[in-house]
Amino acid sequence: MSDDPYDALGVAKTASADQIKKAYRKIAKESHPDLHPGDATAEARFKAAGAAFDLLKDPEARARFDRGEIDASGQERPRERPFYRDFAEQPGNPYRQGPRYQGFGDEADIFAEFLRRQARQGGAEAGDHSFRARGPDAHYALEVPFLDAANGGALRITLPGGDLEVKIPKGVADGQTLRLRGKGGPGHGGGPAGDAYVTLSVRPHPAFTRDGDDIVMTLPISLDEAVLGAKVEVPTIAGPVKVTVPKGASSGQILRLRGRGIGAPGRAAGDQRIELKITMPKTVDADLARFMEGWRKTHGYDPRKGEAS
Amino acid sequence: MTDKAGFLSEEELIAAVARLDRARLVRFIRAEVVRPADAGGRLVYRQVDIARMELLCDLCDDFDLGDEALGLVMELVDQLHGTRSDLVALMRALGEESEEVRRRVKDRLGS
Repeated sequence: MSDDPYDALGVAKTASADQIKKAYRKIAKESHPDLHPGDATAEARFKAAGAAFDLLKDPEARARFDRGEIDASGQERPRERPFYRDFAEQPGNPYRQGPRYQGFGDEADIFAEFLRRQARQGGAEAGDHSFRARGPDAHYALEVPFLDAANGGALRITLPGGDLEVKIPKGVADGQTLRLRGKGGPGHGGGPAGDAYVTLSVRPHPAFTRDGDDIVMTLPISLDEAVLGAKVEVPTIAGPVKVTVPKGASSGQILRLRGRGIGAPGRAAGDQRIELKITMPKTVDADLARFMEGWRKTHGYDPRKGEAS
Repeated sequence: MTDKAGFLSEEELIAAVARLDRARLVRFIRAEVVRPADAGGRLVYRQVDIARMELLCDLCDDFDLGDEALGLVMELVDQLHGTRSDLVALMRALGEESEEVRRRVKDRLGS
């Protein structure tokens, strides 16, 4: 990226404000990532031109830059922002236009959509001139309990005209949008009903967090369980299971329950990762202290040995 | 997507998109280029809406588009992305087909 904002816009130092604006618009038009989704280098060009324009469009900042009082980077306000193209091509984009298909593991449906679309076009050519319009799409936002998102389930959206049942596929991700075909507003003149788009927000769980398809949790264990080992009951998204805490377990040690994570369709199930955390008794009684004092004399060890201090 | 939890209220949306103010948001909604989602009677915005607002602000600030033009451009943008998404799905499906099928499709496209 050039440091010179004039270079970034491809204008002379003597360019008028109007010329600068024109130059920026030209680059923005040709390089806006959302308008050129297939161009991998568009974003860098667009951002460079945007930063240059931000500087040069302000006559005072431009004059200060010209006098050498500020440099381009010092003035540059990085435009941290999401781009629409990163959402727009996802099958669940609620603003999607044209042929649609269900986005959750149902890509085969695209062919059905293509065929339907061709059939529709054929029908229109046959001379049906009456006004038929597809109903409007409806947009809903729905909070999903963590376990319903992990295991799948069914929720209801309460509407004045009757409830809408939403089937939650197993393993849905936070922010994912489901499309319910024909569940939007009614069509006109015999046109089909619109679709309902339901964007999901997964509610956090007090014990579990999700990392990809893995379920992560922290398991507190007692001092004696850590020393002697134990079989303890641990919650998983499918109910409690017995887990063996190995003898001599340390805090931070991770136990892995294979296949106990999220099993979304079409992918291998994730694991449940359990991080052990040794929790001391509420009070260290005289017995324990006395034992430790004796033990330390002959078995002392330095867990920080070899660690950078 | 895991770090982007939850939906945004109107105030949170305006705070998240630097160039957006209430007047502009009202204008976008009236022009039907954004549609908030209904969360049990409350209107909320999604992550896709933030990205969409940024684009809409670009189109307003950089190109001085009026409401009609804004609607038209967004419809074309959505068609473009929808079609690209279909193309990606088709290419993926084709990529999983056998060499022979892929060659046949390629020959057909070439003729």
